[in-house]
Amino acid sequence: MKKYVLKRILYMLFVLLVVTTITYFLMHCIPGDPLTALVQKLPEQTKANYYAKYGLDKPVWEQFLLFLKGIFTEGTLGESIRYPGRQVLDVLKKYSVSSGQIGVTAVAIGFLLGIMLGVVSALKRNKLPDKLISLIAILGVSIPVFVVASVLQFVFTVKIPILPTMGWGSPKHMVLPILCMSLSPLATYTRYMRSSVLDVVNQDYITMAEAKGMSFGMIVRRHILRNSILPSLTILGPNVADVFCGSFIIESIFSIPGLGGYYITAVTDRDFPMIIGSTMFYTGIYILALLIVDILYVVIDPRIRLSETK
Amino acid sequence: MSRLLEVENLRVYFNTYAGQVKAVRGVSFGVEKGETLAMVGESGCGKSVTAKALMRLFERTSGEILPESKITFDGVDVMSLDKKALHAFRGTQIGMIFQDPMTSLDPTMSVGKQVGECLMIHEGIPMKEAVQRAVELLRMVEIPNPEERVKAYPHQLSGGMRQRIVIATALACHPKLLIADEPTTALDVTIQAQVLDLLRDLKERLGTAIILVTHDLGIVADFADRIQVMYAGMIVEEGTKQEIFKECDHPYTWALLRSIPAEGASKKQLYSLKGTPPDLLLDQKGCPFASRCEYCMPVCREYQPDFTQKSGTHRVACWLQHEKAPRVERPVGAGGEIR
Repeated sequence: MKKYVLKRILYMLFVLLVVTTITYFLMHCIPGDPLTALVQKLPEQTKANYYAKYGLDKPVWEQFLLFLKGIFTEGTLGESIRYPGRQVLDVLKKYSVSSGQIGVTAVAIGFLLGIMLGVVSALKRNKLPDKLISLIAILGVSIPVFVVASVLQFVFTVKIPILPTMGWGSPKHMVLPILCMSLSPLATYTRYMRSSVLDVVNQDYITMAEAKGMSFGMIVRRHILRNSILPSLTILGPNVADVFCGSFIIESIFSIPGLGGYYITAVTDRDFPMIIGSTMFYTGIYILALLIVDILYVVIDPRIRLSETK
Repeated sequence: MSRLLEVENLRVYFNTYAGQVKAVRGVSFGVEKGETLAMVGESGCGKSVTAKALMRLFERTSGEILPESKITFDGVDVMSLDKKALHAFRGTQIGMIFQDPMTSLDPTMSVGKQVGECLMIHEGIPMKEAVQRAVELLRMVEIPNPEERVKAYPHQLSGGMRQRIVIATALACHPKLLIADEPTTALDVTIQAQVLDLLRDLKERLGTAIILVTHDLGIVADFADRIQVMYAGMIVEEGTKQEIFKECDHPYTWALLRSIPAEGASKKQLYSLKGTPPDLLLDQKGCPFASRCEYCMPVCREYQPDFTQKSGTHRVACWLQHEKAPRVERPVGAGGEIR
């Protein structure tokens, strides 16, 4: 197990390097660079000075090597070009907190509630609770998040003014964004869980547990949950990674200082250090989440082996 | 002496999209303490459903035990038990072994815990202690190295071992009756023999009554005290082992016996009964076996035959037993002998 995790972490570093490299070269392929808009009307010499200042006059591969050198020698991801003085690492640290707070809470709520609703839905199959839950699930998947957000804003800030419309700073500010963001995961987990519970409930070992004299609630807790949670767990990994990097839409609707906005503006600004920094951050969390999910698999289902060796 | 189990007019219907499947249609029988009763019949004749009905295991299925059914177990009216009492009843009074040991154990739980669960629920002891006791139970079902095996997961054990685990689970709380629903069907032949030997041994040691559900008359021959032959959700003949194998009177029982491969007769073609059992969706008029019976008379298609009591233990539901029916010679095939 330890050996496997160590090996996986090495692989992860390798993946991170590959993704970084590819992204680095890809972003240099996009027409334009961070300075294009800035230097348009400046004389040639000033332009050249600017480019030289940020090292953008050098060949791409040399820039890449310098970037890597920066990481390994100084532990820095560089400085934003569009907003001089902003260290990429600081931006990530600062804004991932709010994104993470909202996102992780939203996914946690979505996951737990989704699992519960999925189980109820499956056990009450084709009865009223199942139909209601299925309706919620379908709505959750199909209504765009900005519609939900607007409706929630209208209801809870205009009609019943108990929550702030937008902004950041107090727990009250977090309620609506979290509600919006948890809806889609909630719906997804509900649907996954419903179908896998339906599958498990018909297994012989459930009948056997009944024949042992276990109450049904106990069977759900001891046998059904564990056997049906794997599919939901599979999508939990990527989901967690997603929310850490923030949702551009939610953040802009509720004016939350999160990473999502920075990620998007970095791309439109061609702010190279910001782009590569956010990409590395996203990739890192993504592969870390996958590792954790893989380990959880083994904890939950003993038939799954981590390493290829016996 | 009062019987351990008394079933009267048991009816189990399943509501499906196609209509109501009448799987068990008025079955009455009983089991004495310590006795082994075999329920024999082809697939879909209602034997497993009858077995499950004894514990009312249809809660989450479309199955329904009709209210006129009466099940009395050791003086307890099973049909009137409420949820809590029913849960307490299952496992402690009746234990059940399932057909396929590959699917009847939870793949994500160690076998020790699965065996211990029974003790945990019914005796209220903590899981740790229950697993300790499970070691003893595994030893009882002759699993080598039980101290280690309690920690194993089902996928680490062979089919025969798993079936032993299932047996240990069923016997954990010392039930008075063990229902074995085709306990050896999913196992290969050598393992079958081992599991049967174990069951017989346990029965003698613990004095548990057994209902053995099977379609394999070979097993029945050296295992059961009494045999009950089922067809299309009804009992057609019932008697002691001797009576069924030597003196049976129902054409369906004859057909069953004739289709056992006899020793040394491997080159001869096996006897096979033509036709298929009746559709259980339909109401049955007359004898259920009439359409396949080579002795079928007009009366068979119109009226259901009542049981004719041949002896204190032997009864048969067939019009051939009627005094006006023609006398028919009992055709005993080569395989029809008790082996």
